Amino acid sequence: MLCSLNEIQTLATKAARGAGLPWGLADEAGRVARWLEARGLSGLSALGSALEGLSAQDWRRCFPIPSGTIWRSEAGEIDGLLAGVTIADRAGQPLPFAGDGALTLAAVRWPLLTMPFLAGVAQVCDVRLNISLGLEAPAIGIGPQTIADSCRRIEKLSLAGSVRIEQGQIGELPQSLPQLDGSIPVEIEVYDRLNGWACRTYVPESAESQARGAGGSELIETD
Amino acid sequence: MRLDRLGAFHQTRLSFLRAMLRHVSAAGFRFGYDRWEIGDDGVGTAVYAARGPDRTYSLVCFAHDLDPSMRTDRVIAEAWDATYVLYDGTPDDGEIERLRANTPKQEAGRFRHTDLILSRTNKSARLFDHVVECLASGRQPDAARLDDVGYVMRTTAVYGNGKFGIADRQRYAGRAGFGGPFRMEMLTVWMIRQFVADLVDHMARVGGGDTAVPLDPALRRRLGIGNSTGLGLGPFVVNHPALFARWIECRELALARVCAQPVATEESWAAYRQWIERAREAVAGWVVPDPMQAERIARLATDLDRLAAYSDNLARDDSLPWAKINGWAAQSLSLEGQELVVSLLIEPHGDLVDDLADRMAIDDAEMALAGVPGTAGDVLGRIEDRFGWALEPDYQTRDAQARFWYVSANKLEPRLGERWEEPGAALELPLATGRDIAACHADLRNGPTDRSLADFLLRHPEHRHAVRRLYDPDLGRYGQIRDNLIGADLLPLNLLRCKLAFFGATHFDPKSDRWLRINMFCHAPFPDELDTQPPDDWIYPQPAP
Repeated sequence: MLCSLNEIQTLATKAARGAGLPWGLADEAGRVARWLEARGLSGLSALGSALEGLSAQDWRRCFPIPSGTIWRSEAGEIDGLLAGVTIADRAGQPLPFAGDGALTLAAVRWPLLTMPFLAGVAQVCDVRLNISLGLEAPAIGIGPQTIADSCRRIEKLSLAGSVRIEQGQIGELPQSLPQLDGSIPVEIEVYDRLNGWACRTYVPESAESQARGAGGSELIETD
Repeated sequence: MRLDRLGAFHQTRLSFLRAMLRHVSAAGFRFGYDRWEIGDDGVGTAVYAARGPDRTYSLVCFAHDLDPSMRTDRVIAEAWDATYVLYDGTPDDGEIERLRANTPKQEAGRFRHTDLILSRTNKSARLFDHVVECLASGRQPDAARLDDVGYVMRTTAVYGNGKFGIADRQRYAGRAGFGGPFRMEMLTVWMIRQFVADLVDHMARVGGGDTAVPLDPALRRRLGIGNSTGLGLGPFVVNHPALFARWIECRELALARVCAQPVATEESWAAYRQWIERAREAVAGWVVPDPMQAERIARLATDLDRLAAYSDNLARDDSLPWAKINGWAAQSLSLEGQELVVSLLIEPHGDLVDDLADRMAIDDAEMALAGVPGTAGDVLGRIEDRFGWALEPDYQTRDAQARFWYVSANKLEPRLGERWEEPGAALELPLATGRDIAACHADLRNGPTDRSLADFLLRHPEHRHAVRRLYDPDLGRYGQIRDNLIGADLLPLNLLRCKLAFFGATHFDPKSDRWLRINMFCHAPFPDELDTQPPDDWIYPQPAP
């Protein structure tokens, strides 16, 4: 099916809330899904899978503990969305990847979801970041609100053993993904899965709400 | 910024439908039919084109045969008298067929980025048939009867910004004249008004043949497009605080520019005096059954009498005359009166303020700005300095949390529930801004004040949405409604009225504390009259000589 970006963002926000995240984090999830889908990356699909994992446990334990140069979580695996939030909140403060240093996130679920936050950090700090997810593969370049098309190879990556973040050379990002123009194709299964979570945020009508005319319009007479 | 004041706002020159009309007129848009395939039964398809200097927009209209028993303004309705899409460009036959398969289904249809706005209208059963019958028999309808309702059809929804797959606003926000808020929505409603008037004439011809007469243009202009609005509109101004702040800021800026004028010009003073008379006439015609609003309108009429008398005693070359009037009104008039004075002061000053209408939108950043600065202590100070209003209610009392906002599973629309009597409060929408800031404040006080805000949010992710609001760089002075939006004394109608005033609606007609009827474009020129009628001199028409 074809979706608008606003529809994607709203769906993702509601789904994250329906999966148990508080509204502030759900809002971040909506923005991440929109950012990724606007660049042709399957953000909704990754988010849907991440929410499955988060809702099945105490999601608070999936935040990275921001200490030292290697960040780990209490749960053993860091959630990609929560990793991004934690790093982005610290933009402008000394982060391990400042200068010649590096920040390593140990065991990240759905690392795709971290990337939009890093593009935000690159914007605020005016830096370019290189993201490595293993020794063999070349790093993924991230600039201010841009990402290299090499990001495609982590689209479906459910677990990265480690995610290493370093500063790269300032300059034009080679082969950055363009923003799509027009409706965004979304697989119906992905939409339905997210919508299943979203529906958990809706309140079924009760006898009390019906009697009160909660929306007001129940009382409308045509004339 | 208090809710009762927002709920007394009136339209101004900056209102979105007026800004849209000024733009299409100035840009030289031409309007016409591309297709009129409406049968004798009133069913069929029509396409109207708005041809601008750079682009054409097409209103694709589907007129239906609706069983009167199915006619309802409720959002759960599944059929309407007419349904519409504003299309980006000129649709070919294939596109019209695609729209025919989806548009009549409204929320149940699927759309794409070429489809800019989705809407539907229902007939006023009181007036539509009456006007058709009059015209079919060769006579014009009675003006008073037209004024009594004010429209022959009303919209029951106007959807934009990506709903059901239609275009995101960002797709056209960069186009000249359409960057202002809700401009495409307003263009759609204005073109719908033309279709509705043409449909009335068509049905009269079908019924009366050679006897039928078209609706007299002067009578036709008395008809706007009605609208029923419920709580669905309410959360918007809370959920888009930076955008709403910009609306208020522009309105305040317009007033400040006017009040800073050292003297009034002869022309602006004469226009102002005339606008008072026009407003008096409009207020005299603003008749509603709701006792509370009727009382406010009666007081407003008295306020206008007093404004006229006060202005009699001023001279246009008095020092700072507009500031004097505004200051006097703030001390002397009801809220309705004070806010109407704002509109009247701004009205004769188009040259001074109209540019602000193009500055009322903001570009939503894709990602929130990275970085939450400062320490927990900094936020504590910020809340106590600037959000003290949020700490005032005692949220432990039942009344302070009497309501909760939620989305209904049946209608997928925002609703207001009674927290202590209805289930569902666990699924509350984050609209309780004051209570949530107060809860954040309490946790900040209970922890170390020297830890970073980022660390506080790691420990308390449940406060993230409150902190985002506290630190939104675009909020400025006007981003917060300083009232408890879940209190027992909340009047949700105020939220609706405020937004509708920014749209440019008139004739607010409350039907309960949570829904109302309004009129849009009443007295405005029609698209086929832009060459002969001024585009922006109609909001309160000239009193009859």
